[in-house]
Amino acid sequence: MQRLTQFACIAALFWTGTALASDAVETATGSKTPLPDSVRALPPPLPTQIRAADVPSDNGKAVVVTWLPDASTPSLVRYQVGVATNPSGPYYFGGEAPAAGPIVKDDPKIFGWSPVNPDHQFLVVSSYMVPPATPDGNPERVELRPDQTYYLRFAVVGDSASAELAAPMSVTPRQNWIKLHKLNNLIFGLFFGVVILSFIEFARRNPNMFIRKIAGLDAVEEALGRATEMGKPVYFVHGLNSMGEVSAIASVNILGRVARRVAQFDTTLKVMNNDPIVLAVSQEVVREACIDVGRPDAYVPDNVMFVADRQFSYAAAVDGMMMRERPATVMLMGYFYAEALLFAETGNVVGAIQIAATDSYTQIPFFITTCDYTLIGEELYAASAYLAREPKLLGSLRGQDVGKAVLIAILTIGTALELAGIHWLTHLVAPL
Amino acid sequence: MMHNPGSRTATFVFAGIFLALSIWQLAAGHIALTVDGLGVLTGAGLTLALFSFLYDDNPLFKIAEHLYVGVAAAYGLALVWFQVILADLVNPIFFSTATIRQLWVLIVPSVLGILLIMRIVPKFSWLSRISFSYVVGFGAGISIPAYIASQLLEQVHPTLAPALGWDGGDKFILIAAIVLIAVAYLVSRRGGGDLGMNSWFGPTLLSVVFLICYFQGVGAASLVLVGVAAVLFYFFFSVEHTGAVGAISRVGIWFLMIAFGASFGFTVMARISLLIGRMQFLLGDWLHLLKI
Repeated sequence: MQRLTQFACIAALFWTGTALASDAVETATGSKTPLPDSVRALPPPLPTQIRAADVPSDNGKAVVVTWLPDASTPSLVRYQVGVATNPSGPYYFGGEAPAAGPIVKDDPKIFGWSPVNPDHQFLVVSSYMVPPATPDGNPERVELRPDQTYYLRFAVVGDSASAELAAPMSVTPRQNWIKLHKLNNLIFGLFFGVVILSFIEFARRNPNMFIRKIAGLDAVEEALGRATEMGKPVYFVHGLNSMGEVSAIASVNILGRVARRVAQFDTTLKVMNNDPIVLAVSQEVVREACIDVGRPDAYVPDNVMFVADRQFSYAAAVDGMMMRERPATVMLMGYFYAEALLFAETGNVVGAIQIAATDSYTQIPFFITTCDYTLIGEELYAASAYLAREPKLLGSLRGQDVGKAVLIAILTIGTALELAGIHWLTHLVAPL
Repeated sequence: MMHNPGSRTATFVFAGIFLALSIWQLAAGHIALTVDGLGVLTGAGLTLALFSFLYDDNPLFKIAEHLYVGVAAAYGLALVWFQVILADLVNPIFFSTATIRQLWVLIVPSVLGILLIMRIVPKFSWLSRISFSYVVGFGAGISIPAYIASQLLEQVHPTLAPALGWDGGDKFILIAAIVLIAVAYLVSRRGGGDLGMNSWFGPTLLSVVFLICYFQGVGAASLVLVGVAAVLFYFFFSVEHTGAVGAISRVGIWFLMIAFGASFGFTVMARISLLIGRMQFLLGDWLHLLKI
């Protein structure tokens, strides 16, 4: 509220066309040590090379003002920009920057990595404050609009005096189709896309593509066999992820393979879900797996169940079922949160073989300490390819390996180039 | 209902403790028979019922479990009804002045939602696939660019970033470290082992190099670089983990396990604080033994 009042005061001053008066300045800088009287009376020097321009690669709702600060400018001054839609005003408060504000080379997103004037200061203006119509009203923030010409007044506000650029600058924000600063995102996306698609094609021609052994997956057969021998069910517990996440898709792929084996062994498979869409997909996958192995009667819709959509009620219910049914095998697949240890500890108590797979970094340690086998992070994704042996998954996996090799090369070469003072590779991978 | 002695014991012990202590608190006037007081008693009872699972499965736990699932389902339904269906669908369509053109953005998702529910009608369950394909396709389309930014660039650039501030001395130390690691590798290979674990020389020299780097200030950057590269090696799936790849991936496992250990300790601390919260409730709000 104090900030809005301050904006309103400054905006009102712009509107009257007078130089910024001492009241508003004192509101903003009241806590600072006052300058000597002889200095207070002098207006701070105006910077040079003041320019206004459209912000590139944006939605056309911002402009940027750049200037070269005067070396003798006191450190307490602020640079302010007033905005109007008409050269004669009224001018409203558009924003301000401190004397030690950001400089052009600090913001490659707007100015690129090699700006012409790297030491100029800048201020991005995306809206202006219109003072309230009544004394008890609130100022209104108005966003800049694309293709509308705006007039900007630039002022330097000191402790008790200010200086203002005589002529307003005009600028028109434009919408841009492409965010050029995100070009590296596109390059990497296309590169990895092409690599993965190429390897998928390669995998179609060479179905026996090598994938290294993943210890936890070799144990799946053993765990399902144990459940069959003991005549107890297999529990497949999904994480708390929705179908849009990679870990859920990988879990469902693994579920398909598990369901096939379970149907062949004539064992009971119970699938726990906490997301309705994952439930529906799981039902479909288990049903198709049973049909594929010629055992459509093995599919029991009630065994692929929605338990609860709240985290700990899901955990309490699954734990209760585990204690009562004492499954021989528990598979925990997907993205888990704090309920991970509750599942795994209960599975451990009932003596089940537990195979966990998650890409949840914080829960992996709990699975490692309580489960018999744990697939760490990306091994979850690899597992579905390993089990399914489908060209799409195999090719993706090989393509991702190439991607990792490229990343290692970028890290190594990038560090070496940085040591030599060459920065282009670091700039290429900068997330702007 | 109570098949085993453990179940029976847990039921009687926890129910007895709860009833005895609650009656004592009511008699002493610490808890009044008001809505707040009943709330505290219910909370304490359900907490004890859930804690009873630590001893054995029992009817008290089952009551709490079913109550929890039921309340969660009802709460979820109420939330969806009032915050989504009423607020975002019914009110804008039937009680607003929006034009048909503006309502398309509501009608299309609603139709997709209705198709999803078609699963319960076997004859039309195939219609739900339209919605599923939309959800999965839309999810992939949204997540792939976001993944490149967050999982790739946001990780790679900070890994390189510490190198940006290195001065000449740092660079010298790093180059010296790289040379020493190469020497360690070559020497340990000549000794019949590999850089990894079969020879004492490689790991020892590697540790000395890291310690020197650490105390000289370039440790963080070089450690992060080596760690990231080694962990990435561990996640190579199309290469057999033998020889140099195997050795580096084992270094990667070390890094992973150290990170998991730290994460484990950190998360356990958070869980302990949750337990402390529950204990404060039981001993403070319920039994009034703690003055907070």
